[in-house]
Amino acid sequence: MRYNKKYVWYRAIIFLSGVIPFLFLLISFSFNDSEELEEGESTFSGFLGINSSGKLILGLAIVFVIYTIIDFIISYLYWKKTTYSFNNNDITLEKGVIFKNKIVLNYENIHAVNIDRNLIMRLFHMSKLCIDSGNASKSGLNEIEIIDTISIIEQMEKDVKERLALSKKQKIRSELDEIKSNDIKLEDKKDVEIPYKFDKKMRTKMTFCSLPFWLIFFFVLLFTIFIDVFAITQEGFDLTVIIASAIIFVIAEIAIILACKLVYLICYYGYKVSVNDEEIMIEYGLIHQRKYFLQKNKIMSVFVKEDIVQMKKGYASLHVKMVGLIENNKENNGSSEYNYLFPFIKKSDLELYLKALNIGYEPKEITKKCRKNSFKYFVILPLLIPFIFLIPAIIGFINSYIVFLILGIYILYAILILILMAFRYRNQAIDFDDKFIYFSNGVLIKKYYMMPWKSVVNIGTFATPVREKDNVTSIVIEYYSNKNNSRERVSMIDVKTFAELLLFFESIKNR
Amino acid sequence: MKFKNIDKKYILKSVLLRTIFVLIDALFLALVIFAAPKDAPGLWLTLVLFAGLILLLAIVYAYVMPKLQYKNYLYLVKEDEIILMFGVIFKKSVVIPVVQMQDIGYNEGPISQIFKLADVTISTAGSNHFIVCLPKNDAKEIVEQVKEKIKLYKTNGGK
Repeated sequence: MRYNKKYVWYRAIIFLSGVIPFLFLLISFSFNDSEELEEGESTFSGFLGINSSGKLILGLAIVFVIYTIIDFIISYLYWKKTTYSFNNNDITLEKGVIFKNKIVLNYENIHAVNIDRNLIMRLFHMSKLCIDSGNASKSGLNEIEIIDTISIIEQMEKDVKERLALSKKQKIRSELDEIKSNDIKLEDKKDVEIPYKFDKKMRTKMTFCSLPFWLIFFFVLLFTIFIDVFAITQEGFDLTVIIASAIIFVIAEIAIILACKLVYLICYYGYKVSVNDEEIMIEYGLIHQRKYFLQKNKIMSVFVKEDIVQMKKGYASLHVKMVGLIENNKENNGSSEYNYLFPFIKKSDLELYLKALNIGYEPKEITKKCRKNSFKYFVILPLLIPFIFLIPAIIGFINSYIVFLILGIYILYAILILILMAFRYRNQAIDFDDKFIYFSNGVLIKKYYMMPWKSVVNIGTFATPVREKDNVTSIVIEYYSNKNNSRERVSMIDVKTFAELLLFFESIKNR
Repeated sequence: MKFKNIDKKYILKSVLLRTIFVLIDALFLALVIFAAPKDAPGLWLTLVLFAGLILLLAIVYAYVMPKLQYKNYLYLVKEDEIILMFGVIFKKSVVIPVVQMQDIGYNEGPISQIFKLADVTISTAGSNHFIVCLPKNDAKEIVEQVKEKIKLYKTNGGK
């Protein structure tokens, strides 16, 4: 089937509406040109190389007519080349004049069906049916758009929704059968508060955990300023400057402690987490009060985040990754994919909190870590590639002191890479069981994931020929999300581990 | 079942497109060298060597890589999954189960239309995957074949 023929007019007018204001602007410029101008002042017509404003308007009119004709031709071709069909199991849309595109969308994968009607559509008594599969890579865009008369679109919407309801019913029926067979009793919806308090003591601990980062930041900042001042004035180190810098440094750190405590108090004031069978409710905030209702069945994974200080002191934060959180929570504005679940916890209490949430996630120690002799693969490329690009500069300035400056910067960079990669090397690990895939990654902040197999969309590898030869690979896990390219990578794992993982993934995917 | 290669026209198509890139690159680098201060010989030599390095990389990318990429681009359409393997320096592989596919289709750009080629696009809830440069008929066949498999999977209630 094709769109209604009125679509040609609609599309042509849409394109023209974008040009007309620009055209008016040009005409108004040309009229301004015709007004009396002081000698030597340039005009817009003159700028275009046209002597009179009358000629300019004529030129613009010709351009406008040509543009309109081309616009109508393209709109007609687009109408002719766009076809759609409602089949028993899917909707197919073929479109495109130069770049041809065919989309096949299964009814079961439909995420949303909406009707849209803008001002120009109203003029033509038309409507647009928007069908979206919730595909991560096309978030915000409708995959299938059908434009036709209001009555036809309304009928189509009914049909699609009926088919959707039918597929949902079938799904619910099969789920109910499963529940009955497992003899699970459905309990009443009852809210239970989890005894988690983000009190003064916790806020202080969280502040002191983040303090080393601020210390490093201010130290680097002051050191840079100090060196700069010294380099500019070249007056040597003055004791008073050093004492003043130390005082500024101490004051800045105290200010940071107070600011952190204040921010944590305002942001996480009255942090309360409660659960029932279906949802997790999170309430917090002093000025900006937040109340989140997280659907348990939309939790795609749980992860624990800990920076190097938290790791040493045995603290962490617990997070959830959701699908459809943006729809559930308008406050989130889609700015972040996940929320804090517990912003600061003792790592030893993790199991306790997960049990209290009753979401079936259990932490497990990961046994399959990064290959012992694989540290070289983390550092070779980050060190080699920048060095290759530095070679021209080294040759160019071989007789100058600049070469030492370049090499000095490179050595500092190399030390930084070695330190960061050592952390990265330590954090890579992967394991799995019947229900979950467990993995950890990260550099200065370690992330430990617990991901149910149902959340894994696909798995793959990322390697180089040298790594392949050494039977080492990075494992790429792609998961359900409303973010484009939702994937996590666990680096330098033994190929055997990947083979085991793949075998298990293939055996459970149809479950 | 054996892994299949994409169409050999991929090499020609890539060389054609990348030649344009090399020409633009060379023009830009020539401008940079021309504008570089000649009174600072160290800087001038650095820029010339750097431009040479960039141009060399661009030439390798345009005239050596397509053949290697073609050799390394393999795909396999199995009963319940599609496996892709590609990459020359960074080798990637991905296993996409049919049950995880959101939609499947094919694209033809203007140059692909000249060569009668098409790219199969597989969308999952995580991201998009492509089997590039297949003969149009093969692309159509894969789309239809996978579509049927998805249908079959749905009618069997996900089993």
